[in-house]
Parts: sequence; structure tokens; C-alpha cells
Amino acid sequence: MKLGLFIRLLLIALILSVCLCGCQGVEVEQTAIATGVAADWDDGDYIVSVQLAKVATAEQAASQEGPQFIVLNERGQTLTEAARRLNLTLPRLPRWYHANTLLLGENLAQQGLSDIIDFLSRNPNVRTNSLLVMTRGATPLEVYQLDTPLEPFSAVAIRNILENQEDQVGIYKPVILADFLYNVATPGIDPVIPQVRIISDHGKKFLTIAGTAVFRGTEWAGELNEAESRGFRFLSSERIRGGLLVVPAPGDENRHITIELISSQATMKPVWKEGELRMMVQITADGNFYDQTSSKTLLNLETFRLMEQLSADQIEQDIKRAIGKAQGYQADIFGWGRLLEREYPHIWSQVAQDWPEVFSALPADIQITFKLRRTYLTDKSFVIK
Amino acid sequence: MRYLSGKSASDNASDPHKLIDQNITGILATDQANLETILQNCSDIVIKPFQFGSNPPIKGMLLYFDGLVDRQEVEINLLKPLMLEMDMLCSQNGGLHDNVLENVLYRILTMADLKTVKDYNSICHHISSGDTVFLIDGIHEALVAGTRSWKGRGVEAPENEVVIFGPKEAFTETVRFNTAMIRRRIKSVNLKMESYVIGRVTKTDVVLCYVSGIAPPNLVNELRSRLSAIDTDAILDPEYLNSFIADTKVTIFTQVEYTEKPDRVCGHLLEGRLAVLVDGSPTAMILPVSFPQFWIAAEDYYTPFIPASFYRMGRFIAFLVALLLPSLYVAVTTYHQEMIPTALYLTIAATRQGVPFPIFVEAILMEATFELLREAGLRLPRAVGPAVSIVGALIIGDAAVQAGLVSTPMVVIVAFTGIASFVAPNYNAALIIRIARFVFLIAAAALGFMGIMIVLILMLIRMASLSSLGLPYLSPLAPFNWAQLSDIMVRRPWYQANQRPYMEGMENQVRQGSKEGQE
Amino acid sequence: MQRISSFQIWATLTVMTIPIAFLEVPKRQLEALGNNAWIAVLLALPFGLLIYAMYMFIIHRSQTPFPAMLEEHFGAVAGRLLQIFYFVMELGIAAFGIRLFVDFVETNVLPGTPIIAYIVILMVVCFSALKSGVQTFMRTFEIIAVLCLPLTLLILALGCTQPLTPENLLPISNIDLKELGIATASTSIILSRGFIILVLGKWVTDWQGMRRAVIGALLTYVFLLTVTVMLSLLIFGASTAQILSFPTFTIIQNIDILQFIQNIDIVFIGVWILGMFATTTGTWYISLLSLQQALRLSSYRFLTAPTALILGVFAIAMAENILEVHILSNIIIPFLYGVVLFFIPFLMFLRILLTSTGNQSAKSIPVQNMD
Repeated sequence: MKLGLFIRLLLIALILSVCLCGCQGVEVEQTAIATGVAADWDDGDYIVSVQLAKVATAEQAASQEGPQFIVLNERGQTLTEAARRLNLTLPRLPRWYHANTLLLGENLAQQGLSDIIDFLSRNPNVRTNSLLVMTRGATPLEVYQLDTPLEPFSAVAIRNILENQEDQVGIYKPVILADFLYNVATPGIDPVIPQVRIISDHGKKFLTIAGTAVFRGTEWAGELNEAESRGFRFLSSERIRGGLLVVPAPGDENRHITIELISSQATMKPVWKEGELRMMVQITADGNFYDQTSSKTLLNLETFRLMEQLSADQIEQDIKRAIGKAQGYQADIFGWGRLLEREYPHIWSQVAQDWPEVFSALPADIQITFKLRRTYLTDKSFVIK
Repeated sequence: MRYLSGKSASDNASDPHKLIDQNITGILATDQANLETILQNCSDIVIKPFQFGSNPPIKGMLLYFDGLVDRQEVEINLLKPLMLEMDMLCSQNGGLHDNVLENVLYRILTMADLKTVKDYNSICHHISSGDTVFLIDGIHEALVAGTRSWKGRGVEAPENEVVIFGPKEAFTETVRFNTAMIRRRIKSVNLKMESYVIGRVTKTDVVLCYVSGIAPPNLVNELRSRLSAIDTDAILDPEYLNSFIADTKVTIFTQVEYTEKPDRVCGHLLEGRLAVLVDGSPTAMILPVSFPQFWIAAEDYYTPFIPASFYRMGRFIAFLVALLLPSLYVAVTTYHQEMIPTALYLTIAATRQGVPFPIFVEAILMEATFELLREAGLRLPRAVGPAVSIVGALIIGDAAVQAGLVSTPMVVIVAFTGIASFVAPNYNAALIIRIARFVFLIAAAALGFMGIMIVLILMLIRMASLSSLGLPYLSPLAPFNWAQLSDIMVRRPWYQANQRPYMEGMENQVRQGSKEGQE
Repeated sequence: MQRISSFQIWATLTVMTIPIAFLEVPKRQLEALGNNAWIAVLLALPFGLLIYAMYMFIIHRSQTPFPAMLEEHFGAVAGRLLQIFYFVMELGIAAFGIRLFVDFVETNVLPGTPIIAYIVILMVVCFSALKSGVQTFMRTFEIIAVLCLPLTLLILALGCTQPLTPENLLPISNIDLKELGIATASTSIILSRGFIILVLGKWVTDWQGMRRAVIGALLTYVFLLTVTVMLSLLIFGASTAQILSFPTFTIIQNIDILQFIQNIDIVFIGVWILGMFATTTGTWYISLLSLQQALRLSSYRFLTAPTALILGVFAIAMAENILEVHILSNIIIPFLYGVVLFFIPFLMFLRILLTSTGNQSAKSIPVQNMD
């Protein structure tokens, strides 16, 4: 192609693109970075709160007093309107897609989430891998305004807490928006969302993760406490890693031992036995012995078996509690309906309409195999002489 | 003699521009007068008449340009034998021996390089080249003796192609020494050197080198015809030739490769390419050449193939970085901020507080400054150059950041791009990157990533339509040739390189292996 | 006319069929078949083989390349009318491609930019490619195929870093066969965009190589699309994936590795833009060739400018909003592909099969310069 033609075409392309594009680009200093977004409902209006980062270089940040973020609030008749009305007070353009945490207010959840599902799935600014968290006992605005220890932004803090606790304590399972939407859209499984509360300690306020909210479809059904949340976590279809079990010490009811969970895999299968539908739950888990609060000699082969049995019992208890609670709420949070659809499609087609009732009466056979593996630095108990 | 400026019938005989086309008359007095007319005002010409014999004395004349000949050789090997071998020159009866020319050429003169010419044009050409011309009264031909010798630069290390391992010889300005350097490395007599004289005024010696049997004959013929078709005043450098023989003359993409190193030329000759050497320039021109080849450094072949391949890949990445990094930065920070990791985004936003220019303007300013600094560094004397460049870059960059005129990430990006652009082993290839970078910047500022893609496509189309002496500019990428590509992307070890890279019309593609067998 | 290597054929077929398929195919499969969408793509393999075998047979037995081929097989009058018909239809197909491109980019990349900018940009690039001649844009296709295929695979591999649920691919037992048929048909018919092989086939000297190239292109198509559809299912599950406008794009949007590599959809779009450029250029080329042959013009390049205008207007006027584009994409365009790119060549195929007399008349058809 001749150079003359090439240059002419290039010029056309560049000039037209400069003139006609309307310069959709936004300079970095005209933007505000949203670290966390929250949705709430109050008296007929939707409220969108957003935590925006204050931009400062490292030196400026160190010398600055007070929080490095601001929290803004707006009302509107739809969530999108509320979010955009922020620009009536905010002189910058918010960059929403850096927000990895999505808080849902209690009031909103009690209204039922069906109203905002469309917003969550269609809106290009809502990241589908953001973590969903529900606030109990406080509005999202208050949660965002909190100062969290060592982390400048509370939205990021919530995310970090949820991710770290899974490995350390192993109670709650983080839920991302994509999973939530999947659970809502798929028949046979109901969504859950971890909850965050504000606790006061000597006048200082902290946020903490407490409980899991259970939904029946998009309707709020209730909550699971810690033990039940732990049980729920054990029943997730993926392999879970990390966590803690506190088990009564063998031979001494008042003392406890700590078992660290390495990994656990749950296999759930619906079984049609003797005209009755039952759910077989099989858990295979591994753990390490972490510490004991007694000074008895616990580390020989027979007590190992004993501790494994005790741990398995503890897990079984948690799971039973979780199943009981969920069946009480008639919310199939474990996905048993989906499993039934896969395994016995003809039965599923019959019971799909009344699945909540059928679920609440579904008996479960639980079988747990727990193996203790290693004992950290010492493989004998400390003997005090 | 008066210098004649007008044309008139009576002055025809003594008009130098007309005289020069005539033949040697054989009468020494006339020839001498004509030659003096032609060579008037050339104060460096030495015309030495002499005579030998005594019965009657035979007159002769020696012509040479002072400074171009080895005077000692003229005196010892030309004049002395002539003065001594009287009886071969003069016959018994006086006058010239019957076979005087033959005697002089084959028996008397003890010079190796002797020939005869018949017209003034050739005489002038030869004495301008440093030969000595010898006229004898009564003979219609002049003798030309090769006595070329002048002071030139010695063989030094190449300036523009820095080498760590490998030969450090570079070409000099005399074409004969350069061809000798090539001949030393390729001892096969299939290495052909065809000589041309191009340029009406400069009459430059141009030598076309190739290895017959490896270089495709149609390429050789094509280049021959193009060289012969050049009609211009001056050829001072291969670039002058390039403007005439290039396939596409108006483009930023260079279609030939220039090199100062004889070993590089030999490597290319052995792969079937052609080299052109120009007298007066230490640069050799190699064609045909394709774009991916610009990223191969000769040094790759002197290091083991695994590190060499690694660094070659690094060079390709550096190419992409040098071309695209500023524009990618501008595009991403202006249009696609969602791609930046959040923490990085906060940092960039913090450093851009208070900067008055949009990112695009910053980028253009910094890039332009960098280019100016680089160009200025080239022109400064060796002692001051590097210091000023470094100081300039540091101080200007730092001061600009402190004053809040540019943001720190931009300085980092520009510096990194600058360094990456120096990675190109070939200076001309680096020029392509420098110019294209600005076009990409403008496109990125206009339409973000899409703009970059569009300009990339246009550049690809442009490159795909170019060719270098018939070889498509983007081979071996397009037309795709896997065997050749493996030598461009990574360096194939020699024991695996059984075939030469393919060019159309190549006769002998087998480099090693089958017939000869392994050691 | 320089020959075309078999690698260039592979590259051309790949860039002609895959980019549009990324947009059109996953959504259709997911809507029709839900969990079993990936089966329809795999089943497209034998049908694609049949289509390509038919094309190869037609090239082998015809003596002229594509636009002149119509005259050879259908007679002078019908042939030329068909050429004009093809000119219009291929322009329509190219315009539809541009419209899909514009809608997609408007939705996902830079909303708010006037669409005229995108149309002009795409036209400028294709225009320059056509003006440079077949050899040049064949080489560009090669480079695009070589560069973009590994990048696409890399990006899809990154997509696999998301949590995957393999059970979403099952169950296979209750597939609605009618839907399966429709889905397979609509996937296979996109392969008929490889129609350009009827134009280029005559210039390939290495017949075996061409066969390998065609099969290679088919396998690449099936592989890439199966992986894409499977990934959509694995990551989102059928119910969510069915409501997405462009499932492929949403997969890539969700990639988040260590919060460092995130939202890299723009890279994928950049790669995809190269493919769209290629496929629009190829289709436009076929239409220009048809017109050139119909009107017996000496060169097609000067037709590029007026048809550029027609294309631009056609692309905008084609549909008013995205729902109409979806109707076009799901119903009208596959029908168009079926008639133009499959049925008429099928008639040619039958004619070659059934009439065994030699095509003496072929010599008298002046094949215009296709360079």
C-alpha cells in the first residue's frame, strides 16, 4: 500500500477518533476509588453507601490524622439512581469496579432481595467476584465508618477478615456475588450470606463477623450461629481447608484439645431406599493435633483413635445443628435439591414444586471419617516432673 | 591555461569536458597538452616527463596524484626498470622496439598490477583512484600501474555495534581492505565480488558480494540490474544507494541492514544474502532482509544457544515494551482504569495529585525530552557526552517531578521505554520504534486500547505490503515458515541447523548433515 | 498471481470463522440446551467436515475460482445475476459483522462513544487492507492467527483459575433432541463462513496441505468454542449463563488473580478486534470480487470506497436496538448463511456430481484479476 494512502488513512483514523470519541477517557485525578459499596433500604427508598479512598502519597498518609476514607450516602428510588445521585455531592467520578466488598443492609434483606437481583446481575459496575456480607444490628453506613485495626479501609478489612478466618478459625464461608446469583437462579439450592456486626469494647467499636444469614430464594429466613455456620461449611461441595475444632479432651470432660483441620471433603448423595428418600452425607476429614489444655499424656495410638472419634462426633454435632436449623427454615442451603435433580431427575420433577416442605423432612445419614495426622513440634505430651 | 567557460567552435579542441572523451593520440606532446588541459587547476597532480635511451631518446610521461600513490613503488618498480632495460625498449636502430608495449607489460616492469587503457576518461579515472599512468611517445595505449597507497584509518573496534564476545574488527573506509576482511573469512572461491563504478562525479567503487551457489541467482540478477540502473552524481555512503535500489523508497521501515562488522556480513552471505560495500564508507549494506531479523544480534551466535535464546526472547519483549509501553500506560490510566490493581491505582492517583497536564500531554512531553537528550548526547564530544546525558536526564526528570510538572510513574515509564529501545541490535530498527511510538501514543490517547489495536493493524498491513528485494518484509512470520521461525525466535544450535533459511530461488539449502555425515 | 500456502489457508479460515463465533455461538447454545450446550459444539465437527468436504470438492472440480464459478455452473445469465446477488448478500453479512462488533463494543468497552467512530475505524482498517491487495492481507491474517490464538488460549486458561463446578456439564440424559438439532445446525452454519476457500482454493498448489489446513481450522474452531462454552457452564452454571448477553466476555471479566490481574477483558477485546478486522475484510473482499466479476471490471480496488459507504449505512440501518440485533443473529442470519453460503454451493455440488460432462465453457469465462 502506498505510503501516501497509508498516511492519509492514518490521519483520518486519528483525527476522527479524536473528534468523535467525545473523549470518554477520564483522567486519574478526576476519579474517586470506591473500596466498598453497600445497599440498604429505608422507608421506601434505596440507599447506596460507598466508601471512597482518600488519595495521598505515603508521606502524606503517615502525617494525616483520621481515617483515609470518606463514606457517602445517597437515597433513590432504585439502586442505580441512588448510586448516580452521589455525583450531586461528589466532585469526582467514582470507579466502582475497584470495590470488592458489597454490604447488604438488614432492612434490605428483610424486604427480600428479589428487587435488587437485577441490579446485581446486569449492572456492569458491580463486580461479580465481590464478597457479599450482610450487616446485622447496624446500618452499612455505620460499618463503613468504623476504624479497623491496621487496615485503612473497613471494606477491605471485612474482605481480609473473611478470607483469613476461613483458614484460621474455619467458621464462615465467604460468599461471592457470582455464587449468590447462581444459588438464587438455580432451583434446588438456596443462598447464604455471612453477617457482620459491630461490637463495643471499652467504648471502642469493632466490627466482627457473627453468624450467617439464610435465605429461602430471595426471602430472608433467619440466621445460623457459629456452630451451625461451621457445620454448614463442612457440607460445602468443595474441599474446605483450614479451620479449628475444639474438642473435649478424652477422659476429661472439662478440658479441651484443639484440633486443626487440614482439609475436609463432603460427598452428599440422595438415596432412594425402601420407598423413602434419604440423603447420605459422607465426610472425610484430616486434622492435626494442635494443643491440649491438660497435661495428661494424650499422644499414643489409642488416644489418637479416641480423639479422632471425638472430633468426628463434634463435626457431626455441628452438621446436625446446621441441618436442623436449615430444615427449620425450609431453606435448602446445602444444594440437596440440585443433587437430587442430578441423581434422580424423575423424582425431582415430581417434588420440585414442594421442595421446601420435602427438604424440611428429609432425613440425613451422616458418616464421618476423621483422621489425625501430625502433632507439630512434639510428638509426646509435655511431662511435668 | 585559461579556464574556458563558454562553448565556441574554436575552443572545442581545448574544452576539457569534450577532451576527456577522446582517445590517446600516441603523440606525447599532444597527449601531454590535452591532459594538462583536462587536469588544470589540480595542484596535486604530478606530471613527470622523462626520457630514456639516447639515440634518439624516447620520451615518456608519468602521471599520478600526489598523496594517492606509493612514491617509492613508482620510483623503484616503474622508473628504475624502465631506465635500466634499455635494449628491450629501444631497438638497435633507434626508435621504439617493435614489441615495446609487450616488453614493458610483461618483461620489464616489475609490478604486479598492470593494464593498458586507451582513452583519457580511463586515464583520469585510474589516476583518481591512485594508480600511476605511464605514457610512451608513439604508443596509442597508456599503461596503468596499481600503486595505490594512502593513509587511512586502521582497523578498530566497531563503534555502533558493541560486542562482548566475538571478533571486534570493523570495516574501514577503503573498500579493498573491507573486501579483504570478508575474503579472509570465506575462503571459498565461490565468494564473488562484482565491482561497479557508480556516480558521475564521485565515480565510487561499489562492490557487490555474494556466494554463488548459495545466493539465489534471480536475486543477484535483480540487484545487478538495479545497481547498473543508478544514474546520479554522488554515492558517498550505502544509504545513497539504498534510496535508489530500495523496493519501497518512502517509508520509515528500513529494507536493508547496515553493519560495520565483517563477521556479520559473512554470516549473512552464508545464508544466501547479498552484501554491498561502498568505497569511502565503513558500512556494508545487506539485502534482502526481513523485519524479525533486526532483532538478531551477531553475538547470539557466539554464545551457547540456551542463554542466547533467552536473551533473544528478552529482546523481542523489549521491542514490544519500547513500542507499546507509554501508549499502554496512557490507555490504561485514561480509559481502562479497571485493569489496574487497586493498590497500584491508589499509588498512581496519589502521585498525580496536582499535576497540571493530562497524562497524554505528560507522556508526549517526557518522550520528546528523552529524544532530545538522546540526540544531543550523540553530538556532544566524547568527553562531555555521557555526563551531560545522564545529568540532564536525572536533573530534568527529578526537577520536573519536584516541581509537580510530571508524575513519577511517567518518568519511570519513559526511562524504562528508553532503555528498552536501546536493546535493538540494529540502529535503523530502533529508529522505526522511536517514530512509531509517537503514533501509538496519539492513538492511545484518542481511543484507548482500541486505538492501539487499530494502529497496530495499520502498521501490520503496511509492513506486510513491503518487501526487500522481493523477500516479504515480515517473513518468516508471514508467509509462515516454521523452520526459519525457529531460528528467529530462539537460536537453534548449530548441530540442528541442517538447512539454510529458505529464500525463493535458492539452490542449495542443505548446510550440513546428510552427505558429509557427523563427526 | 502468487500462490497461497496452506498455512495461509488455515489462518484465513480460522480468523474468518472464530471471532464472530465467540459472540454468537455460546449464547445460542446456552439458551437452547442449558447444561448440555457443549455437546452441540462437538457435534458440529462432523457437519463442519461435510461442509468443507463439499467446498473442497467444488474447488477441485471447477476450473474457475469463486465468482466466475457461478457462471461456470449456472450458465452465463444466471451466473451473473447470482454474482450480483452474492455481492449484496456478502455486503449484508459484512455489515452484520460490523453491527455486532459495534453493539458489543458499545455495551462493554466504551459506552457513550458515538458509534460512527467505531464504524469508521473498522472501515478504515479494512479499507486499507483491501487496497493493499490479497497478498498483503493474507500475510496479515497469518500474523493475526499466529499471535492471537496463543493469547486467546492463555486468556481462556486464566479463566480456568476461577472456581469450577464440573457437575454443571451434566446431566446428559434429558436432552431435547429438537433443540440439539437446532443448536448444532446454528453452530455448524457459522463454519460456512469459510466460504472464502472457494475463492482462494484455486491458488493453492499443495492439495494435501490444503486438506490438512482445512481440517486443522475446523479442529481449532471446535476446540476453542467447546472450551469457551464449557467454561461458561463450569463457572456460571446454566441458569446464570443463559441470561448473560455475552458469556465469553463475562468469563474474562471475572478473572481475578490475587487482585493483581483483574478486568483483563480489554485485552481479550483487543485480540478479538484483530479477528473482527480479518473477518470483515474477507467478507468484503468476496463481495467486491463478485461485483467485479459480474460487471467485468479490471480491478476491484476502486470499488472499495463506495462500498465502504454502503456498508456503514447498512450496518447502522440494519436494526434499531439490541433486541432486534438478537433476532437478526438468532433467526435471520443463520438462514442467510444457510442459503447463501451453503445451499447455493450445494446446488453447484449436485450439478458437478450429476453432470459428468466436462466444463468446456469454463474456458470462455474471463476471470477478472483477483489480485
